[in-house]
Amino acid sequence: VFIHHNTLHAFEHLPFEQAVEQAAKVYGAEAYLPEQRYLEEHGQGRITERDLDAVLSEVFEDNQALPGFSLREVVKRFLVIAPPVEGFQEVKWLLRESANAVPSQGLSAEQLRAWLDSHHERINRRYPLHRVNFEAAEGLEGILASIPRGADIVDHERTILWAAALLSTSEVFTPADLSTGDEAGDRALDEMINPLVIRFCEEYLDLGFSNQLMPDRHEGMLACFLRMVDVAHFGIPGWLDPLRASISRYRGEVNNVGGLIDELLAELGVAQADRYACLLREALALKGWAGYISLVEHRPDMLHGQESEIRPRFEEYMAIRLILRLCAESSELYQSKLEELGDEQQELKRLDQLYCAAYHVLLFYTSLGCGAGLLDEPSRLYPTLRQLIELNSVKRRRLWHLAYESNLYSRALNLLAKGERDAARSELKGQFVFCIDDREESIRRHLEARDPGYQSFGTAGFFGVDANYTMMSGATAPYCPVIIQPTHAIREVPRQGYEERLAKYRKKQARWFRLSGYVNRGAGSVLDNIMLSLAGCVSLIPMVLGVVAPRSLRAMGSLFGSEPNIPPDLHELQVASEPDSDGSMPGYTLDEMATRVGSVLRGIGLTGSFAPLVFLIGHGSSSRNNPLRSAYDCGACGGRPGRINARAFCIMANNPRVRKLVSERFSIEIPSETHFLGAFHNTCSDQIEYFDLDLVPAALRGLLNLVRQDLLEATKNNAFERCRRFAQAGVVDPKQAAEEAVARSYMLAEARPEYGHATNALCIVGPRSYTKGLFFDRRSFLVSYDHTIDPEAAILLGILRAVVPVCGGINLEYLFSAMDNEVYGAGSKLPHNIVSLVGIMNGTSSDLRTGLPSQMVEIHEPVRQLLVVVATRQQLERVIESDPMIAKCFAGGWMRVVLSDGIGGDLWWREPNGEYKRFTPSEDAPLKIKDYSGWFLGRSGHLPFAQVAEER
Amino acid sequence: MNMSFFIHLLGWGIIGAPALSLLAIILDRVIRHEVREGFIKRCLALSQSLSIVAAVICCGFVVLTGESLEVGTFPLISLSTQELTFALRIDRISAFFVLISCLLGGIVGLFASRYLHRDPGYLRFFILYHIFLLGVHSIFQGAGLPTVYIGWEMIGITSALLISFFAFRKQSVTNSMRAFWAYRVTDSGILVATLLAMHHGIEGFYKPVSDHPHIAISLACLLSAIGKSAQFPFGRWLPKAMEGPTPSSAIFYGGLSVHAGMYLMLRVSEVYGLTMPVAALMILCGIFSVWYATIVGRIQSDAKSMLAYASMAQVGVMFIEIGLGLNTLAIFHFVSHAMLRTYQLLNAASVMHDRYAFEHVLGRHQVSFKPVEGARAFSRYAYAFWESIDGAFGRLSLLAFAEFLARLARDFERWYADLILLISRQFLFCFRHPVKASSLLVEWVGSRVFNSSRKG
Repeated sequence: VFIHHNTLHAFEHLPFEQAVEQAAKVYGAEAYLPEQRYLEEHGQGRITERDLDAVLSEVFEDNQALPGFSLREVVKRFLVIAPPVEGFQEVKWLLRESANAVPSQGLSAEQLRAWLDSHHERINRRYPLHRVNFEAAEGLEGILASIPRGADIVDHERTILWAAALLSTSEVFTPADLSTGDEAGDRALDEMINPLVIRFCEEYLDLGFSNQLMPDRHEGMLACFLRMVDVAHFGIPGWLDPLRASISRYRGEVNNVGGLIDELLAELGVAQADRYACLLREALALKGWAGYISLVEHRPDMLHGQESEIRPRFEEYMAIRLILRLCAESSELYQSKLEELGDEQQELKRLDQLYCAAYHVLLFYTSLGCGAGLLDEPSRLYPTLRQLIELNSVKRRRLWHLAYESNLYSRALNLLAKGERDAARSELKGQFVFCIDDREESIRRHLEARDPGYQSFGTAGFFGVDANYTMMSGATAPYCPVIIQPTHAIREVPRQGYEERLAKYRKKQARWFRLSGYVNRGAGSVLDNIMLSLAGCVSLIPMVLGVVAPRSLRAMGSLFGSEPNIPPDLHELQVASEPDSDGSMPGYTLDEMATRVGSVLRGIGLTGSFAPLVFLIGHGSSSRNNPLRSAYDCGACGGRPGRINARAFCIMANNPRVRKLVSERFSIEIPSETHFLGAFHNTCSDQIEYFDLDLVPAALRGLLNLVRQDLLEATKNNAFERCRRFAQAGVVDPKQAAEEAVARSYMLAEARPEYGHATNALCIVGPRSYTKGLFFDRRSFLVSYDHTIDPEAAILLGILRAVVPVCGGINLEYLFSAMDNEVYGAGSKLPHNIVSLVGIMNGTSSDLRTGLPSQMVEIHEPVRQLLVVVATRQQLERVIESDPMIAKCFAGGWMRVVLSDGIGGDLWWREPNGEYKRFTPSEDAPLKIKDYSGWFLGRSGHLPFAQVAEER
Repeated sequence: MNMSFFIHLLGWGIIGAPALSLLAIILDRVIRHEVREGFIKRCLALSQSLSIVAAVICCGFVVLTGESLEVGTFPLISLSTQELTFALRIDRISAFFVLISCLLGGIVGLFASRYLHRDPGYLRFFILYHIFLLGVHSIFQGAGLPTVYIGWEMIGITSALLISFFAFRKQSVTNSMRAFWAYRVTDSGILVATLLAMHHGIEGFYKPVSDHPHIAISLACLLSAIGKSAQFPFGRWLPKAMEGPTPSSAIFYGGLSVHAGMYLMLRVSEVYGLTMPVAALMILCGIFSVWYATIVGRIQSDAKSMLAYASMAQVGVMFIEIGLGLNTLAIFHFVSHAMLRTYQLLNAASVMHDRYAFEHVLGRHQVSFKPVEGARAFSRYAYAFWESIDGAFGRLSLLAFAEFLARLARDFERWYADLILLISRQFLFCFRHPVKASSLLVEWVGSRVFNSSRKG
């Protein structure tokens, strides 16, 4: 199960920018995208001058910095000019090879001569102060010496300007903090310790993958490890030999691990003050494994039923690392590795920084035509220079990033402020309750465009059904948000009259799964494996079909019962509480059902005017060969498909006794002719599955067929819209797209069956009428909410309590995985390797990879989510006051918040400090599109937000 | 145009199609200055389907008529005394190997062309992939040891380069070097075998030769076969080699490369006949490998290592089969095992969800966790555990050799270039004085070993 969450959970108490930059230091990650990327976006108009202006006007004063230029102007130009360069070698190379980058300033010989005459003194003045400056001075002499004697000095203007820039920069430059500790030592340690720790964790935490599990794991991690060293008389790496002598000592401390850690730290010679840093380093050396261990230590229920067998303790993990470190540091191997790796040259790094800064300064002054300024008196030059040098790469990228975000925000808000909504109404034919998911935005749009009698809603995809699902096989799983511990159970029971068919089906299924389980895993004995490999030629069939014709493979497989789910027409859900409950989890009482039905309906604002058919559509995703599959499923269902929830809700809502209670308690009158129908939308294959169709009253059958036809068309159009993102798909019409989508979901060779939430950027909480007819390019979560029936803001509180962590978590996980795919994300999927049924690693031995792989985030625009709430100011503030989690998120700016007064009303930014600022839309009217299937054809990038003016 | 000409043309087509395709994708990149995935994909699909069709017809012809197909020879270097040719030939044995390599090459290529979409190394991967396929075809169709040797080197180099495909990770480069050195050292076997065979004028590699004992040639080939097929005691690189993209792991260590050694021995046993000592050594290697890979493989808890050890064990079984003279069984075993393992590796990313689906259907109690308890089980486990990290067995049995390898790796930069130069010089030199050449080589390697060990 994969749940999206904020990657920088530990930094949530800080404001966003600060947290990102601090975390980048701790984890050794990139805080923002590479500068090159922002420059490209600027070149393509994705970041405009206007956005830069908007950001800079908030950060910088508007005073004069250079003759003719205000500070804001200077910074703006500096951002655009400063090219990403990495080190002093590159700068030297650039200066030598691309002379044109520095335009000639046409300075006179006297000006240059005057500077040359004065520079000796300046160098001497600074000489002893700083090592960096010393090196720069050396460089400077060299540079000036390169001018041949007697040459025309004007011809060497560039060289002199470069010398001037370097000198001035070195005088105001303070190198950024580079103290990353003992790098060579750390790397040498990691190379020795990590492979061992990884192998041990793999084996100890194995949830049942390998054919032979580690014996006696219940003794605990540390005890097992020590025993492992103790019993093996040969085979342990040579540097571990000294450990043998002290094993008995460590054994005695197994129950006092805290004390042992203290002792070990003392033995390692770590000073009291450095202890935290040392422990942090050890914990972060393999942050995936360490994180997993501390997670399952607190949630043993995640150990897949083996909590009595496996006892991971974070403390013991740390103790093992420290013990290994102690051994490693005293070994010869460590010394030789140290020599091999050499010590990081801090000095060189400082020089790199200095040269880059000076190069930026040089480029900047010369391209403005202010080259003479560089030769200016130091006192007049320094204030500006200092400000420019302070704008190091991280700060520049921060500004860029804010501008990058602001562009998207203002485009979206512009559309909300000025776009015309689709207000067409007719007799209600069908209502569709979807998940709030951004991937459902497009299908809702396509569906509503088919008939004005269709109305769609968005609510968290578990539809209030917070149950533990018990399958016929006895397996159970919670189908609700992870923060809820389910107290009710829904059982899968045979459907009356179908018992025989069901039994037959299950037999077939069991046979298939036993066989495939055997083929996947083998039994581990020699003879077994020989038999298996002799029979292995059969696997040619799934291999060829899985790559060439995945759909036929699927069809063939289902003949043999390869589908893990029992077909919905063979079983039914037992939702109600059984009177003779035998101590297992109870079902729902009528009263509890009514509470759930009523609060969901009230939450989405569906309190009157029901259509004859109300569809509840859960969602999930199917894909093959994809360890991250559940990241595509419904987050509100705990990373599982929302099949059961939609079906169970409808069973509750169709119960006349529940309806009676709902009308009594919530005063929502559900007409008796209205029928609720559960369905399931597969967001990858774009297929819809319906449940309990035979319960639909005969009078509604005709309508049902019409609606199903429309839904089918809508899914095809939806697939068509999605397929534009897939460069390899090459589809030209909805029919082809639908086939492509299905093929993708079963394809063995597909690394990106769908793009998941990769396009998420917005979250709009308000009635559908507020967003209907607007094209959000699948980039917005849409939550239905009617603030007029919610004077106490209780509904809004409930919504935001779910939306902020769920949508915010999804957004931030994608954001960080895109910012630094190697540190926060999982890197490329291509070498991934499943380990211990726990997670994935790269190749044969690596840290447990967290976050999302590059294939999932490659099209993502990492921006913080923009939350638009249609409500009154009092309602919003009330919610923020009553929930500290929401307040923290908003105050840190982890989500940008806008309050809307509704259609035609104003939009208000809610700043992190609680102030409201009016949003002023730009002059230009929003883009109108008529026929949007033709519009997006052949365009794979992000499309502008627009209003759909389709003619019916 | 008669039938035989047509068949010969097809025979060349098997190897010619990927060669042309390789040329096309390189030219396309050079001319257009960009990587066009679509073009690469089309080239690959076209050439592979051509290869497959040609292979099916040719191998069908060979298997049905029972005669072997002389595809043709292509002179490489001709000297006064001897002529070095690139000669291709398909017979009863190689027919199966050629067919399977075309089939798997096509499927895995298609898989990769989709799986690697948008990867910055797309072009690099497919260039290496094509070279690998050419190498595989030269081995399986090689009519003489020189041809086999060329192919042998081609798959060795591509294998190492694909293991370090993600070269920004130190781990993958280290493991790639490990495989590379295992290859380098063991490849000397086939080089020596080639030289010796040329010296005796029996470099042809298809018709049985009976007038010499040829133990030296067989033993040299065995050394190379052990290296390429990851058998004991050189097999430890294999589990570490799963660092590249999944499709390359699948075709190399599940499908083709890992079986190349076994094919070589099959050939050797057909051509030279396995004499008692060679067969015994081979069976011994096989038994040790099976035993070792099973014990250590059983405790692996990641999908790809598990499959790597399984491959090692099964190829070990094939070695035993060949040693016992059960060649037909070995061929069938190869066909079946290559398909199974390739599929399992391609499918390796599914194992977690497959497992959960299994529990979903059958209930958790069906999955038997029977942790073995007790001190003996633990110590057995511990030995296997340490073995999978450091290879104690390798250290014990080949202590000196392992150290030698480690030194080799460290001194790599200093004298690898030397070695390449020397080998190529030797190669030309050997035509006049084959025996002298090989003894010189042995001497030179020996001096390096002793010099470097004295230094340390």
